[in-house]
Amino acid sequence: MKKSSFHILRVGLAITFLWIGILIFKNPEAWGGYLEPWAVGLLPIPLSEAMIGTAIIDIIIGALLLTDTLIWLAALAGLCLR
Amino acid sequence: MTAFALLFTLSAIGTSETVYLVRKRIASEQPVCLIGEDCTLVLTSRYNKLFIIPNDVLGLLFYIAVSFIAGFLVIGIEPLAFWAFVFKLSVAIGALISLFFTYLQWRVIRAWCFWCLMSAFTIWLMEGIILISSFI
Repeated sequence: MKKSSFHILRVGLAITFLWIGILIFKNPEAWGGYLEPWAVGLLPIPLSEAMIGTAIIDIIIGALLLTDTLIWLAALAGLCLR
Repeated sequence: MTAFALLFTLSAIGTSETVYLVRKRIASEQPVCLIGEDCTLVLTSRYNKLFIIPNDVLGLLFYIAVSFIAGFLVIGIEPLAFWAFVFKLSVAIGALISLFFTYLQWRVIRAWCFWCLMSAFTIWLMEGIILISSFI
């Protein structure tokens, strides 16, 4: 039961990361609105490019979680990203 | 958008399931059979390959392709009409192949495999969502 719940949680989290990655790709500027203005000022690259980078990392984390590969790395990256 | 979210979720579930089956087959381990005890009988039967490619690999490729196309349609990568056509066609073909495999389990192998049925229901649900969303 514990193992089943882990896998259900893993797949659910993977889908969340993948879907958010796709939505950021669709409209990166809108998702950039969630960043604080002072944090945007610190970015060395345009906001949309930074958000596309976030989307790529989101999709990589989602793919790792979905395929049950390097779970600890995906979890750590997800934690840092959030 | 809601339809694509559901379709993407289902294809991701299918991807996860087929990755599990491929891993178990490569490791020569028996997959967990949540309902019934005939998973191994079906998965090791002579019908476990289609054109020399194992069915789990075919399923994985199908789900990955469908996930990518759903993503392309949501993001808006051109040509949208082409992606929509390929998406509908591939899910329809997948639903028919799943119907054939379910018939094989029912009438030929005479055993039911939980993972195969789950995959079949996933694809049929995807086909159902496509049909319903085309009428709305």
